[in-house]
Amino acid sequence: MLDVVNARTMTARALQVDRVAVEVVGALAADGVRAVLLKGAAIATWLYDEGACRPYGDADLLVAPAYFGPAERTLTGLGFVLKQAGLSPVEETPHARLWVRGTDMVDLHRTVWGVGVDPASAWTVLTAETEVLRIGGGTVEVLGHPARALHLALHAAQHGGREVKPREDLERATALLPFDTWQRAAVLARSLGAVQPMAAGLRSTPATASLADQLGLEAGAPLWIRLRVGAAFTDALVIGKIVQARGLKAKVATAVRYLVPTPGRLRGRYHFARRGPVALGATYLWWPISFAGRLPRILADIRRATKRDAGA
Amino acid sequence: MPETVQLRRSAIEWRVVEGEVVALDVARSEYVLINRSGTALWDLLAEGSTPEALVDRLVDRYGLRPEVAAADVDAFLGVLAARQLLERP
Repeated sequence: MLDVVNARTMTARALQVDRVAVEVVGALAADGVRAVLLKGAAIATWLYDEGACRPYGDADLLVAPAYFGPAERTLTGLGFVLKQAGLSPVEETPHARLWVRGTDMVDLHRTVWGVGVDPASAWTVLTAETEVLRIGGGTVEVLGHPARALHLALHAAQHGGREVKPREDLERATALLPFDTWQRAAVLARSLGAVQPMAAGLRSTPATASLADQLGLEAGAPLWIRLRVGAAFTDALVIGKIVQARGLKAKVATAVRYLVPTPGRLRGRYHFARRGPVALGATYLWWPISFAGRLPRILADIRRATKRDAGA
Repeated sequence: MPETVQLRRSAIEWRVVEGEVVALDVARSEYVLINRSGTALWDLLAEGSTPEALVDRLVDRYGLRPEVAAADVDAFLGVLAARQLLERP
C-alpha cells in the first residue's frame, strides 16, 4: 500500500516538474534563450513503460554558456532564487546551478558533467540533434538518442555508487537501445572529451560493463572519476576537484577554499549556520573539528579510489 | 448522433502508475487522482468517446447495472467538465 502511495506521490511530483519545465522553457524562449531538457521526462518517457514510476524532482535545463546569464535573469523574473548563494567559484558546481521557487527546482546547466571540452563546444555538439517532447501541457526540446545515451553513462559515473537511479537508467538503456545508438554515443564522447567518464559510467555496474568493451572504450580512469564512481564521501570529491584544477595556483586555491569555506557554503551545509552571525561564527569554529572527524573516511575513500581502477 | 467527448490535452497531463491515472490539471496546478472506474474509462476519453460507450465499458468491466453505470459516467463527466478538462472534437 505504501509503495502504491509513494508511486502516486512521485508521479504527481513528476507531473509538476514537467509543468515547471514547460513554463521555464517558454519564458526562456520568449527572452531569446534556447533550452534543452536533460533527464527527467526525457528519460522517463524514453526508457520506462507507461505504468512504471520513474521519479524525478527537478527540471534540468541546458543552455548555451553565452546565454547562461540571461537565463538566470529569466529565472529570477519568474520568482526563482539561487539555492546556494554566496559561494566562491571554486565551491560552485562548475557545470550547473540550482534555482528554487517554493517546491519547484530548476537545475540550470551551462554544460554536462564529464565533458572535457569548453561549454560552448559542448553545447554545439550536444544540441546538433534534438527532438521535441510533449509534456506538462506544452513541448520541450530534448537531446537526440545518442547524446541522451551518453548523458546516462556520464550521469552514472558522476553519481557512482551513491545513487540507484542513474545505474537503473543506464542498465535499462543498455538493454533497450540498439548498439548503433551506443556507437554514435561513443563518437560523441570522443568529440566532447568524455570517453573516460563514459567508460567509467558503463563499467560502474556489471550489467553494463561489457558494452564499454564492445565499444572499444579505453580502460582506466583518472582519480577524480574513480572517486566519483567509487561512491566517495562528498569531502573526498574535493580531492578530485583539486586534482582536476589546472595549475598549482588553482589547486592551492581549491584546497584553501575547502579548508576555509565561504559563509554561503557553511549556511548551505549546516542549518545552524543560517541562524545569524553568532551561529555562523560558531560553525566556523566547528568546521576544522568536523573536518578532523571526517578525515579518516576521506582518506579511506581516496585509498580505495587509488587502488581501484574503474576501467579494469 | 451521439455526442463525442474527449479530454482536452492542453488542459491535463497524466501518467498511469500502478494501474491508476495520476493527472495534473495544468491550469489549476492541481493533482487529480482518478479512481479505478475512472481509470477504466480514461483511454476512451483520451481518444474521444460517446457517453454510451463509456457506460458500456463500465457495464462490461464491472458488471454494473446500466442505470448505475450511466449515473457514474454522468457524475464523472460532470466533474471533468466543471474543471474544463473536456472538449467536443
